[in-house]
Amino acid sequence: MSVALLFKMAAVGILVMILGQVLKNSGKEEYSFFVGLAGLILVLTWLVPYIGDLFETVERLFDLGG
Amino acid sequence: MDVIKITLYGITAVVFILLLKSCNSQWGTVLSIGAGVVLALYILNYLLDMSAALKEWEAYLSGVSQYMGVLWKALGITYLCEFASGVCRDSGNSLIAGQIELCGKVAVMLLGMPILWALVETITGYYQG
Repeated sequence: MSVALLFKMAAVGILVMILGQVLKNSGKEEYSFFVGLAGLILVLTWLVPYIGDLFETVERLFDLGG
Repeated sequence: MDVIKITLYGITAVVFILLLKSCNSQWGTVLSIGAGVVLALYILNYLLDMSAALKEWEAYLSGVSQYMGVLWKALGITYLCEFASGVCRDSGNSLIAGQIELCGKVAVMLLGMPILWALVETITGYYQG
């Protein structure tokens, strides 16, 4: 029941948006995409273990292992 | 099973999602996926203990344990497909959600086919007898 996950993801989302705006205004449009990509990869590294754990639990619980 | 924890968790997640959506960014759906996964994990752990108790009940219903297994597996398939299609529908692409639901229905139907076959056999057995 990790609330920290929520806070971290919200923080990354907001940071990516702010950096995107800053980069857009300072003329470097292309970098904002890379910042978004980096943020997404970071969030995925937090999220994928949870998703894997969920699917593994469901498989073990309902013995779907086929 | 702390209901207060779950409800508060859901509400904070929604608040964060609204915050992110207000700055019209796509991070809201990522956050909703994260919150959904964490909530599902929390709930499924309690279902684990219950399933152990359910397995003991099968001992009493002697002839039914095979069908109980199929029923339990169908429950898992529907839960998983419903979760995945909900995620897809939340993020806006309902085409994929429809395909996942269709796959769930087909899987459950395939799972129940042997039972249907046994039923048909018992019925035809009555006629020959």
